[in-house]
Amino acid sequence: MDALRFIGKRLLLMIPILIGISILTFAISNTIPGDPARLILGPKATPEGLEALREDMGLNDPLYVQYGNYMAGIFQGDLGKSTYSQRPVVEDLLRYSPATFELTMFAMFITLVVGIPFGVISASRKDRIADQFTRVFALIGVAMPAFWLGLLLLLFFYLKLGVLPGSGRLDGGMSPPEYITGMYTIDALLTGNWPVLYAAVMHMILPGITLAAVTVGMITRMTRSSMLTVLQSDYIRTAFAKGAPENRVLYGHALRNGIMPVITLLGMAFGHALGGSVLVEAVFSWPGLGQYAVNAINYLDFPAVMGVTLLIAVMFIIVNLIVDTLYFFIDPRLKHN
Amino acid sequence: MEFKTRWPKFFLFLIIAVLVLAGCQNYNEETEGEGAASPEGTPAESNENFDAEVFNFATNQDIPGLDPHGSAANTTFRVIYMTYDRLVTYDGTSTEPQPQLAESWEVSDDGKEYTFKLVENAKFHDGSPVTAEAVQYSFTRAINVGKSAAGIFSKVIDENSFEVIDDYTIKITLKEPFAPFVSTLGTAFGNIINPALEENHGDDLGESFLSEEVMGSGPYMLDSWDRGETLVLKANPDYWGEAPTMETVNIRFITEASTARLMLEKGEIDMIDNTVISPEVLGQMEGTEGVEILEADGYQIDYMPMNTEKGALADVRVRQAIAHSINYDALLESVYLGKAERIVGAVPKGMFGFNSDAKLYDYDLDKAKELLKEAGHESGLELEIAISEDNEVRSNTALLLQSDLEKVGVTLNIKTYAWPTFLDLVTTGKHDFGLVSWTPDYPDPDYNLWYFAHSSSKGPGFNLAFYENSEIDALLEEGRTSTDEALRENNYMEIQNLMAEEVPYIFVAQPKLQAPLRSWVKGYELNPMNSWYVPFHKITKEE
Repeated sequence: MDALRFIGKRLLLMIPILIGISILTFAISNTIPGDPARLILGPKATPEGLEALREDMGLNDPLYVQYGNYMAGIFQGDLGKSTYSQRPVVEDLLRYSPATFELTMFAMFITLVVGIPFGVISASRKDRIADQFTRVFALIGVAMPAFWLGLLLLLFFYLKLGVLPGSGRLDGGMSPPEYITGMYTIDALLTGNWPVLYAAVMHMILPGITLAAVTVGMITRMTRSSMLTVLQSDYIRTAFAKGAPENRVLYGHALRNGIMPVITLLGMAFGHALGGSVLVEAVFSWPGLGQYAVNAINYLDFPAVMGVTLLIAVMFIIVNLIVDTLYFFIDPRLKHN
Repeated sequence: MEFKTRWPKFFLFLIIAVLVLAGCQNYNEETEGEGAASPEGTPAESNENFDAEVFNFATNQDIPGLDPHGSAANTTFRVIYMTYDRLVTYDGTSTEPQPQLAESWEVSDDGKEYTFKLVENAKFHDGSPVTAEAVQYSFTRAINVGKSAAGIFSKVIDENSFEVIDDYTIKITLKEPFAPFVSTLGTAFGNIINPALEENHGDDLGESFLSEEVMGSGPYMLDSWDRGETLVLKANPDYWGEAPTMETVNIRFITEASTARLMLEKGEIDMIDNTVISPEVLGQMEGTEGVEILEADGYQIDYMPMNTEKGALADVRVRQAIAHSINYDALLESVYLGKAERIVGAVPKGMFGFNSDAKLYDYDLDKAKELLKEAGHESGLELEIAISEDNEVRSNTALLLQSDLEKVGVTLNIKTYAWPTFLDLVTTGKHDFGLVSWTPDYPDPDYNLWYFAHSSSKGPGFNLAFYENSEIDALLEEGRTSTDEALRENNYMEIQNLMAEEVPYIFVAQPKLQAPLRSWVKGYELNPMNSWYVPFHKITKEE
C-alpha cells in the first residue's frame, strides 16, 4: 500500500517537473537567433513567401501565446508538426524513439551483466591482479570519449576483422520486421523472423558496447566501493567463518546489501546512456532520437526539439521511478517505514 | 539458488560464444556471396560486397521531404532528379539545357513567349501520359506552394502565363523577358508532377502527402524510405526514355564521415556524397586500394562577403587593403591542397559571362598597410569573421586569414556559429566578414550576380555584403530582360570590373569537385553546377 501511495505521489510530481522542463526548453530554443521560416525556404525564398510562412507557423505571435498554443495542443496529445519533416512530431517520435530505446536497453543490459560482476570481483580481490585489471578497465570506460571508442571498435571489428557490421540497424537491402514495438530485435522475435533478429543483434553489438563503456565503468566503480564497505561487516565474516561458499557469500549475502547505491546509480546511468546516444548514434548511423534531435536543432524545428526533450524527460523520470520502487522489493526495511 | 550464483558467468559465456560464432565467418559472407554472382555468370568477385545491380550511395545529410516545390535541401534534389523529369535537363558535364520532356521549343522575338513541344511517349509512374496540362499544373502549384520553387518562378510567371495549345504543346508567356528562363526549367524546381496529386491536396496543396511520396515520371520509383536510415529507389520498368542501368539505388545516411570512409574502403558503399569528406581526408584516401577520387571542374565558389554597411569595412580602401593582405597561393595550397583555383569575381570560370580580365589583387603587404594608413587605421583595427561550424575548409580558411591580417595590423576574431544562427547573423547584417560557399542553380551570370550585387537582394536576398551600386543595378536589370547575348555578356563583364574595384566580396576559391568512389563505378560524370545530380540511371559497375 505504501508502495502504491509512493508511486502515485511520484506520478503526480511528474506534472510540475514536465511543465518546468517545457518552459525551459521553449524559452531556450526560442532565444537562439535564427529564423525557422528562412531555414525551410532556403536562400532563394522571396520576402513575401517568408512572411506568409512565418504567419502560418505562428512565429509572429508573442512568445507566451506560442507557448500557450503549444501546451494546449499537448493536452490533446498533439505535439505539433515538425517543420523539418512536415510530419506530426508524435509520428516522428514513434518512428525514431524505439531505435534509441532499444539501443539504450541493450547498453543497460551490458552494464548490468558486466558492471556488477566486475565490481564484485574487484572488491573481493582487493588490490590483487583482478582488482587492478577491472579498476583500469572501468577507468578507461569512464574516461574514453564514446566517439573515439566507437571509431576504434569500427576499425578493428568492422574493417580489419570484418566480423561485425558497421552502421545502421539492419543490413543494406533488408526490410525491417513488421512494426509492433519498433524495436527490431523484439519485433523480429515476436514475428519469428530469425534472419532479421540475427542482423539486428549483430548491428547492436558495437554501438551497444560503445554506449555501455561509460556506464559499465560507473557501475563497476560504485559496486566495488559499496561492496568493500559491506565485506567488512560482521555478518560477512560470520558467513565465511561458517564455511559458506564464496560465490554465495558474495552474490547472495553481500551484494544484496551492497547493491542499493548501485541501483540509484543505474537510474542515472540510464539517463547518461540516453544522452550519450547522440554521439554514438552519429558514429554508427543509428537512426534514433539523437539523430532526429540534431537535425531538429539544425533546422530550428521547435516542435521537434520540444517533443524530443519532453520524451526523454518522461523516460528518465519513469526509469527513476522504477528504480526507486525497486527499493521496496530489495530492502524490506522500507516497507515498514 | 544454484542458477542465481552462476548467472554472471553464464551471460559472460553467452556473449563470448556469440562473438566466437560470429568470428568463425565474416559477417554477411554467405548472403552477399550469392548476390555477387552477376547475371552473366562471371565468377564471384574478389570483394564480397560487389553487386553490379545495386548502387549504394552514402550521404551525411538527412532528407527532409520529397516535395519538389517545397524543399530547398540538396539531398532532396538528388532523389527528385531521379524520380521526376523536367522539360529540359543538364546532361553529363554539360551546363547547356538539353531536351527532356520538351523535345523542342521556340522563343518569340520579344523574349516573352516560349512554346514547348512535349515528347508524346512520356508516362508518369501510374501510367498516365505527361501532357501539357501536367506542365501547367506543376508550375502553377510551384507558385501557389510559395516555397523554394516559387522563389525562382514567381518573378516571371503566374497562373495566367499558361496556354495549353494541344495535349503536347504548351505556350508560356512571361511577365517580362527573362533571358535565363529555359535554364531555370532544368533545375530541381522545374520537375513535372502528376496532376493526379490533386486528389491528395488536403489543406496544403498536397505538401505533406508529397513529402513522403513520389508522383513523377522519372527513371526511378520510390521503393521504401526508412527515415534517417535508407531510401531505396527501384528502376522504373516502363521508363519512357533510355532504360536505367542500376536496378536498385540505396541512398544511405551515414552521419559520421569516418564511418562512411570505412564503408567505402570495404566496398559496402559505392560512392560518398562529394560534400561529406574534407580535402585533407580525401588526400589521405588517395591510393587506397579499390577507391578513386573522381575530380571535375565545378561552379562552386567559396567567398567572403565584407559588410559594406558596417564600421571600417564601409571604406573601400579598407576592403582593398584586406584584399591585398591575403596570401592566396598559400591558402589554395594549404587549405584546398591545390584542388582549387583563385577567381576574380562572382561568375565562376567556365560559365558564360566569366571575365578573365577583371582586376586581381596581389598579395602585397606594403600596399595593404598604405591603404589602411590612408583610411586612418594606422594604429590597427579589430574585426570579426563569422563562420558556420562543422566545415573544415571554412575554419582553416578563417585561421589562415587571421594570421595574414595580423601582418597588416588587423586583428581578426573568429566566431563560429551553428548554421541557423550564422544564417540569421549574416542576413541581418550583424557581421563584418563571413565565409560562404555557393553553387548556382542554373548556368547564367544573372543568378550569382543578382543575388550578390543587386541592391534589392541585400541581406535576406543573399547580398551578404549589403552592397549597393546603382550602375550595377541598372546593368543587371538590363541583362536580365535582354535577349541580346552580346549585350548581356558585356554587361556582366562590366559588373565584374566594377565589383573588382569596390571589392564587396573576396572570392577566395573555386574548388574542384571531388567525389570519392569505388573504382568499379563507371560512367559517372560530375556536373559542374549540379553535383547533387547523380545520374544513377547511367552509371554502371564493372569490376
